[in-house]
Amino acid sequence: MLLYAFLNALLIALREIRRNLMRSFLTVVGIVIGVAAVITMVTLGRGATEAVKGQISKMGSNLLILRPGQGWGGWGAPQFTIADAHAIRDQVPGIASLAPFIQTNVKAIYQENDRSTDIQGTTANYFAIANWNIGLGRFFTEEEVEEAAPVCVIGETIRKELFGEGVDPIGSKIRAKSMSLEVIGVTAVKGQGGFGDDLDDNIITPYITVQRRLTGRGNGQNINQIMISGKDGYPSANIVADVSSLMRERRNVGANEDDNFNVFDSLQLADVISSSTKVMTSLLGAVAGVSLLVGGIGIMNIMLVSVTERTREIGIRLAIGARAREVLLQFLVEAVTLSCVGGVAGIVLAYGLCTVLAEVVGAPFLFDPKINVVAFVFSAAIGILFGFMPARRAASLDPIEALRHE
Amino acid sequence: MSMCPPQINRHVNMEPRAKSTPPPHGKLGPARNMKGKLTRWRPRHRLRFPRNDQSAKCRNHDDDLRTRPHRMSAENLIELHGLTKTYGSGDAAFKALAGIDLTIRRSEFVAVMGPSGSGKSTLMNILGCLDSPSSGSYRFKGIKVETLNKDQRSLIRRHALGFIFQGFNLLARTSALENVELPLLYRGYSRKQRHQMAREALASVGIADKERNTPSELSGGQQQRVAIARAIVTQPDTLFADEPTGNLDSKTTLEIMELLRHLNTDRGISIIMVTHETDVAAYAKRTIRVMDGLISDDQSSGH
Repeated sequence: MLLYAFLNALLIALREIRRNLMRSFLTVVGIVIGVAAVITMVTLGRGATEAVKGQISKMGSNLLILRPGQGWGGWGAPQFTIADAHAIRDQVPGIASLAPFIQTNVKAIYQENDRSTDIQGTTANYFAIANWNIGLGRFFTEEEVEEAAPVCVIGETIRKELFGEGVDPIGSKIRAKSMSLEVIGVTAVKGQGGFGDDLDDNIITPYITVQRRLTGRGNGQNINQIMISGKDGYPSANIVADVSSLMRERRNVGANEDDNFNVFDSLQLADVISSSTKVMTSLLGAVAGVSLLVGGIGIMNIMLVSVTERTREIGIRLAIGARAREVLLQFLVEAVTLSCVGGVAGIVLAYGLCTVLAEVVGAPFLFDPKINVVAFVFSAAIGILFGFMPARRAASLDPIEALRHE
Repeated sequence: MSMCPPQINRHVNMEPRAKSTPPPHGKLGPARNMKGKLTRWRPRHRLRFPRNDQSAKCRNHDDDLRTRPHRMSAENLIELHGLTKTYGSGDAAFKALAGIDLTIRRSEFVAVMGPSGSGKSTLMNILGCLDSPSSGSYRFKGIKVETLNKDQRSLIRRHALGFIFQGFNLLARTSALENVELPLLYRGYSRKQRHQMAREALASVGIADKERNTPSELSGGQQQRVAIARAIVTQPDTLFADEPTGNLDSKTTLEIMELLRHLNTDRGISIIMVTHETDVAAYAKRTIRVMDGLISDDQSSGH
């Protein structure tokens, strides 16, 4: 019996929707826009957050960088030595791996091509710490570092500039200042870094090679940076604290003096950046929420405007023997149908928009079921509420009054 | 007695369906749990109407005094005793009906006349079960209408009454066929049955060829014919017409009144019609004049 009543209401409701195609369409459009806006905004925001996180993890996840001086400059403060690196490796708990790092600007030359780029001197475990993958050839080994072998691994940008795209540079020799380096590998493309810099524009070579042949000091002095990767799950703040106290001791920093070095923690940076993009996402979500609300008000308007005509309709239905609850069920089914159609169309539209916009913005497209449900339920609630409330008022009228309604 | 009067039945049940056999008496009451509390809402009693009057058997309800058909009701369609209707309360109270006694038999064609404000519209609304009286009794085919709630009055309208209005009151942008089908939607007929019944009704009012047209594509007379088809499609025993020709020209008025007369004489449908015009009232076999909430004149003409 209940099913029968429902099916009957569905039949009547569908007839009414068909009879008032324009009104139904406008109602649906309001919901579609609201739902699509919210889902698109939030999905793109989440995509952007993930994109930033991904860029930070390109640097190497769980990565700490020890640098001289305070802040980014570090001018004037003494550099590190290889002995500092060994002390950290031996004395600080929670460290998975560690690599000294020297960086200097050179002009790299191959035949008639040249490019000004960074040459980075380090050890073999740097590749793992900084998340490098090999694209072609191989990385250099620890033995080659010890021997100060004249080998190098180049980034994709260098290959393109010096050799041309797609050319196999393995075994070729490039010249940097007075040094001739054999290319033994090309790193896999990393693309842009978190600060818009080109991560593939570099030459990586054993640090001893750089020290002996470029900077001229082969005694393990003047290490620019020490790259440290923490063990998984070990709190990076502990490593920062331990490294700091060790370095204060080794660099003879007085009790009242500031550190003359700093430890950069990529995890912390990731936290800061992703929390700021989260704020951004919520902001976008709020803006989209307003558009959902505006859509809701649109629905409300259409429903209220049509109430005069609908009051007469209700009067006719009541006069020919419909009970108030049958009329209400019809209106409820109508509102639910329109809201659901609008909600589904909104989700579909949002997906179209997201795929296109994700491409444009360069953020990955991440499906978030939660926001879909929230947007859908909210819009459906508005549609049902504002479709249903005027009808409830009208159905409680006497049929005579409802018929007389002008 | 060829027609089975609709009965109020406090025990059973739901909407009449063609094949449902009602459960035996007294078996089904409102659902109650062990403590005797109602477990779901049910109206105190529900109306029960045989679907098509021939198809259901009359049942006796001697055990239920309040619903037992009135002895005199076999002939009388409508019996009013001391019927009053008061709007407002206290000083602002306005007595629209001041105690009306009236009996209308089956298959009568009654015209109700009176100046505006006389209470004839109020009387019509109460007779049509659209409104309830303030006091007095109203028996419609033996049913005590004054005791019924809104939904129950809806069911009487659904199963026994048809309405024709001055302003036609058709659904806009809806074809004639669907307009005529409207009452059938609330009575559980199949699509095929609905179409067939609606087409027959349209044919019987002479506009079978207009079933696809919407009201805006029809003339006033044609719209009123659609409205009449809608009123008679459920085969009601009583038709209420509220100034059915008020919006029509004289030629169309003639046609519509001829149609109503045929419905009355050929099908035996009782018609109760409000009108201002004497020549329209002349189609009726009986004319009631209402003045200041009372019946001032009641004449039967020898048609």
